[in-house]
Amino acid sequence: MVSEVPEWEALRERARQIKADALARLDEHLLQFEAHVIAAGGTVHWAATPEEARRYVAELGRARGVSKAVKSKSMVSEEVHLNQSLEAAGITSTETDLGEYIIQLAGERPSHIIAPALHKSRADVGRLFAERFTVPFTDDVEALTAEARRRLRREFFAAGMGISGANFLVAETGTIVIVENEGNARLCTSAPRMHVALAGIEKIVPRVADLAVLLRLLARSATGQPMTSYVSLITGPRRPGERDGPDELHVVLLDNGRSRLLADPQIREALQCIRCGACQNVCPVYRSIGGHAYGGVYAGPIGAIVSAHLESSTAAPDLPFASTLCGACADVCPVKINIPDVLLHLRSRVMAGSVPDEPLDRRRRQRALMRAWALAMASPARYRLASRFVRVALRLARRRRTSRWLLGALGAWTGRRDLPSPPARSFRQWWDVNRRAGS
Amino acid sequence: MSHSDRDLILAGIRCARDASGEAHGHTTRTPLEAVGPSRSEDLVEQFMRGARLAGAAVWAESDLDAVRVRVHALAIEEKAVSVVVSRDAASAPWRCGDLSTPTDPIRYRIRAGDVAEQDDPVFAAGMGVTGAAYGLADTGTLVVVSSPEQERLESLVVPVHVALLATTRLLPDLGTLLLRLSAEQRFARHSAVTLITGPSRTADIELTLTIGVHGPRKLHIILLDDRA
Repeated sequence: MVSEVPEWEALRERARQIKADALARLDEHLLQFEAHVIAAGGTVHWAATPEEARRYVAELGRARGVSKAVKSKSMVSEEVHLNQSLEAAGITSTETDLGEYIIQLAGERPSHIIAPALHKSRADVGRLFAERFTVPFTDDVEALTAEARRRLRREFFAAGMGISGANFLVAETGTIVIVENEGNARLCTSAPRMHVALAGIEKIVPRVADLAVLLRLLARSATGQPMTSYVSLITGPRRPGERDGPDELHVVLLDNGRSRLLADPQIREALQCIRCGACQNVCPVYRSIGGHAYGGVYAGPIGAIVSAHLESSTAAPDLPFASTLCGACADVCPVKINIPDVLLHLRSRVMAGSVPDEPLDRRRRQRALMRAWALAMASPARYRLASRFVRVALRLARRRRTSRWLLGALGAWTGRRDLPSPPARSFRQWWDVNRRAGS
Repeated sequence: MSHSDRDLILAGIRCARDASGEAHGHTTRTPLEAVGPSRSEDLVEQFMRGARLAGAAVWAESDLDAVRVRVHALAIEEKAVSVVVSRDAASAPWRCGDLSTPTDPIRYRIRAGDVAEQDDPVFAAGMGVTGAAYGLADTGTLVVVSSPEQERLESLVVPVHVALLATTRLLPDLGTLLLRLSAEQRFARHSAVTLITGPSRTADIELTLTIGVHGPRKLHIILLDDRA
C-alpha cells in the first residue's frame, strides 16, 4: 500500500482531521447538508430511532403505492431492520448487491461488511440458486453471476422505490456519495422513480474537496483498488430536462445512539469510521470467529466498539474483551481510530460495572467449562485421554452429522461452521513413531 | 414525528459537544498539495495506464474521423446489432449518431425524449456510446455528468460502454476535479456526477473476481489525442 502510495501516512492524517472536524461541528454540517438537499429538490428526514426510520420509509412507500423496492448495500438499513417493516407494509424489498442478494435468498445475515456472503462457498451458492430458481446446479462463478444479473435486471425497472445507503454525505453541497463495483447502486438510484438514501449522522464530511482524500483511502482500504468501478455523487432528484433518475429523493438521517457516542470523549473517535472493513480483514479474532459471532450488524474491531452503543443492539457487552489488543486494526485504519485504546476504555467500564456484564448463567457456564479444561490439562495422562476422546467424538460427529445436537449449548457456534476433521493420529503418536525410531 | 426527531438529534449533538468540553475551532489541516500524487508523468500516459489497470480498453486516435471508424469497428467486434448513442456523442464534435455502412447495417439510435420505457432503445442495445466530461489521469477514471446530453443509462445498462474523451479534458486527479466542479456549481445543476473506472465487477462469491455484473462488462475508452 505505502509503496504504491508514498503519501499514504499523510493521507491518513488528513482523513482523520477531516472526520474529526466533521464531528466537531456535526450539527452545523447536518443543517447545511439539509439546506442544500432541499434546495436541490430533495427531502431530508431525521430519525432518532430505528422505529422512526422504518416508519417513515414504509409510510412513504405506502403513500406512493409502491409494491416493489430494490436495495443496494446499506448497513444502516440492516441496523434498523428495514426489510422486515417493508414486508409488513406489503412492499417486497429485493437486495441487489450480489452478496446481499445471495444471503437474502438464503435467509441469513451478512458476515462481512464488504463481502457479505463470504461465509458461503460457490457450491453453496450454486445449490441455493438451483433450489430457488429451479435451474440446473452449477458452481461456476461467472454463470452464477450472470444468472443473478438476469434476474435482478427485471427487478430494477419494475421497482417503485430504490433504497441505498451512503458512504459520505457532503455538507457543502448536499451531495450523497455512493461507492461500488457492481453497478447495482447506480441502477437503484436511477431506475425507480423514487430514491431513498439511509445514512448515519456520522457520515457527514464538510466539503466536496474532502472526498479527494477519503475516496482514495476507502477503495484501497476496502478492496485494495486505487478506485472502485463506480462512484456516484448524487445531489437531489433528476433535474428538469434530465430523462434518467428519480423524481423524488429522500435522505433519512439516523441517530440511534450516535449522538450519545459523540458525547463520550473516550470513544467518540469510533464515529470517524468510514466502513472500509480493513480492521476486520487483519483482526486475528475476526478471522477465527467470523462475522456472525459478533451478534450485531457491525463486526470485527469497529463492531466491538459500536455494537454495544447503538440503541437497538442486542450484541453482548463483553465484545470489547474479544480482542488480543495486537493493534493490527489501528495500523490499517484509514482514519486512524485508535481501536485498542477505545477497547481498553470500554473494558474498564465493564469491570467498573458501569456497563451491564454478561448474564449470570453464562458466566457460571464459562467458569465450569474453564475448570473442566484445567482439569484435563493438569496431567499428561488426562491430556492424552481427553485428546483421544475428542478425536473419537469428532469422527463420530462428522460421520453422523449429529454435530448440532451433540454439542447442545455450543450449537450456536457449530450452526454455521463445519467441525474440523481430526488427524489420523495425535502428535504424540506421530512422535513416538517418527522420532523414537530414527534420530 | 419528523420535526421533533430533528430537534432531538440536534439537541443530542449540541449536548455532546458541550459535555465533552473540547475546543471546537478549526483544526490545522495538512495542506492538500502535500498529500497529492506526483505529477511528473504525462497525463495521457498516466490515464491510459490507470484505465488499462482497471480493466478498460483504451484507444488513442488522432482525429475525429479515426474516432468514428473506431466506434464502428468496436460495434462490429462486440457483435452489437444496435447501438445507443447519447446526445453529446451524436452531436458536434463527435458526430457518432449514425455510423452504419451498407455492408454492416448496425442500427444506431438516440433516445428520443417522449419514448416509453418498453421502446427505449437503451435496453435492447448491445453497445452504448457516450461522451465524458473529464478524465482523471491518476486512476484512469471517466467523469460523466448527468444532463439531457449525457444521460445515465447509456453508460450503465448496456453490456459494452464506449466513452469518447478528448485529451484536453484530462485532469491530474480527483482533488482537481472536485475543486473545479464545486467552483462551477455543478453539484447544484446536475443530479448525478458519476466516476467510472473500468467495467463493473464483483468478488462476492468466494472472493473470486468476476467482470460484468449489473453495469457494463466491457469499457472502451477512445481518446482523441490531437496534440500533434
